[in-house]
Amino acid sequence: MPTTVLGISAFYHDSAAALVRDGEIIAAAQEERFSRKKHDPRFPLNAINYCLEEAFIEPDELDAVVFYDNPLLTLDRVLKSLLSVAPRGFEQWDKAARSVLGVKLHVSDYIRKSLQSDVRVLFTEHHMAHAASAFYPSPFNEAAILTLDGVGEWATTTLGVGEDAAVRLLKTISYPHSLGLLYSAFTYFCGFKVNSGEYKLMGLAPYGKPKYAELIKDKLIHIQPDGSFRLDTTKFGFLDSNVMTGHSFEELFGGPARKPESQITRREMDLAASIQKVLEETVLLLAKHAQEVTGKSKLVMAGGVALNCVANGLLLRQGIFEDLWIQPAAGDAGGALGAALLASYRHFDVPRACSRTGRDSQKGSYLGPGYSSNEIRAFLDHNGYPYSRIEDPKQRAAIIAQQLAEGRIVGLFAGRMEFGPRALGARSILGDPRNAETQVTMNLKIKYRESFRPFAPAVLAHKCDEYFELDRESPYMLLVAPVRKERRIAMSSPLESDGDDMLEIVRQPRSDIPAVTHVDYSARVQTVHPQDSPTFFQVISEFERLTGTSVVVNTSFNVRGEPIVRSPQDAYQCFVRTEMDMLVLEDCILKKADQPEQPKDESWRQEYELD
Amino acid sequence: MNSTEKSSVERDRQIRKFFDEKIVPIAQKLRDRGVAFFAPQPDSSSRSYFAPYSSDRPVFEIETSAIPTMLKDHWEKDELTELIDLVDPLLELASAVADESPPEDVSPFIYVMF
Repeated sequence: MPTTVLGISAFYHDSAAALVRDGEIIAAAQEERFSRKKHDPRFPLNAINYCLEEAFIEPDELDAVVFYDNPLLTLDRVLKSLLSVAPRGFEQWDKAARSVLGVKLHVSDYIRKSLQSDVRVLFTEHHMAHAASAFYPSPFNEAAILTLDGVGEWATTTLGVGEDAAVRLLKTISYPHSLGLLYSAFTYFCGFKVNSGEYKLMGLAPYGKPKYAELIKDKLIHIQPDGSFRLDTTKFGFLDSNVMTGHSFEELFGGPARKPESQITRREMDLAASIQKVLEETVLLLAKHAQEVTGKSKLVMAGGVALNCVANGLLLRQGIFEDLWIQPAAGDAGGALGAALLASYRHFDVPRACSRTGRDSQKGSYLGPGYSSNEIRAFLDHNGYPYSRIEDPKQRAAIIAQQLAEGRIVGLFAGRMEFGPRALGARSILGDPRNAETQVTMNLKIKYRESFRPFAPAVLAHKCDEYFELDRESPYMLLVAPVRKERRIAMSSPLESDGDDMLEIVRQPRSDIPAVTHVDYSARVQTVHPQDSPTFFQVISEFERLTGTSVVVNTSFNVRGEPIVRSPQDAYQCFVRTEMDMLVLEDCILKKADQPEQPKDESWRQEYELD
Repeated sequence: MNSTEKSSVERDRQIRKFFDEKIVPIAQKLRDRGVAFFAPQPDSSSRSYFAPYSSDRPVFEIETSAIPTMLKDHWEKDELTELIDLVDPLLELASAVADESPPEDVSPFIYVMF
């Protein structure tokens, strides 16, 4: 009988479920995609039901459910943190008590009640789950492990080693000293949302200069030569209040935090550049130390900080390790997967089949629900939405490519949904990267988001090094690499200006693929392999045939504040609410001009809180 | 005031009472004893801030009935008698908040640490 394990992450942010059978990942999905509530922290019942359906099993048939965190250790940390600041800290305790003493204290009972099953419930520690999510799906038999996040129970950073089926964590840095909390503090201070806006801060960094980096290292974080670090917590608010920064922080940077949605000024650009530089320096030192301690030539990473793809790209280029693999769902959602894998290998002793092909076992991270042509046509026919059915995949790819080549925007819904924050061609909005206006148009008319934010390229894997200074695959959009020098165009409005007007910089053509070239000539690359994603590969191949360009713009299929679409219904709704020109739902093609007129009702914009 | 509102008010009161009558005095006792759970600031004499990662079981069980013993054992290892004495009042408070629904939203102002 196979060993089937369900992993769960819940009750913090980005709840998810993942099902593993004999060590093979069968399904994984984030709850937000079902509930349509971004970063949904609630118990992921919908995601769990999907995973069970995908595996054709009932809860009673599970060998175990594994929770990704030790709630007693978390309670220990919350209490000790409170005791360290009391009589301050009631504001935080008022929220914390309801959380750590509520459902989190009775997780076993809650799971059994929710699943209506007397299933065995197991637990892992948070950073062990991250470590497992990084090592087990990687293509490596042996690797150093680095996990970096805001905080788990106590650990915020761990360094370890993976060998065959064993994962061991060796060193740790504990709360309140955390790179994730440091970065989130700057996220908050620059006027973005904590827990979701960190990658916006990363995208803002190239617009600024790191003029505050030394001040940050002098006053906020002390970094040792081995990469270990300690914060000066007296400058932050997260120990005893419900905001990340306080008065001391404001004094350091010349004034209060930026109000959300207000104009981004030169100060925020420079702060973003500065904290990015400090983070990169720390990550590089940690990686060097990990190599020295473990002696391994490969590195795997997870934890929310591992989503900082600029730091990842720099790490790769430094050559400290021969190779690097990062869990695509590096944040808390991936903890569900890590928990399931860890239990499979370390508790149930499932043998680990290491890769013989050099490819990972994450299956392109296409681990969520897919929809058949029958299901899709039933939805379209029931609602009377006009479409054409094009069953031949090559013909379909050619139609999509033609639209892109003519400057139109296409929503692509194909295959199983991605697991992790990035869209990888299964739930993607595509555009022509050659057009300098594409970035502004797609930001303002499709995504309804801040115009400074760059778009990412999806490139045919075998053509990657013709466009980017990247000599290996990057299937999960977790590495930022420079656009090749010969493709760059010098900007007439350089970054050295001290002004606040980013649009002036954004509108400058920066390369022959300007829509995916960031203002510092970098790009967050996705390499598309025919084995992982045959449909997407075919679309880009057809675009290449028409235009000679082997790259398309790939942005996630959602509007700002909305989770990435899951179902044909979600996709259609997003399609008609934006200025997308065409929607492709598997083998059904819908043109915007043919669709029934939508009610002129903009109330949907209130449905999703801006992120 | 309906019964739901009364329960909510009572929960608020108990959380406040716990803080004032248990947390604050214990915090002072621990400070008087020189107990600090973490260093709040850098230490210029230190050469590394790494500590060994200690955990003997990659996968384990936590049954509800075992929680009081597990908490006491954990705090006994570090001779934290003040916290051991806190276990019963903590679990009493836990009963009071047990009906509270889990959070539905993720704060935009502070990292989700609990």
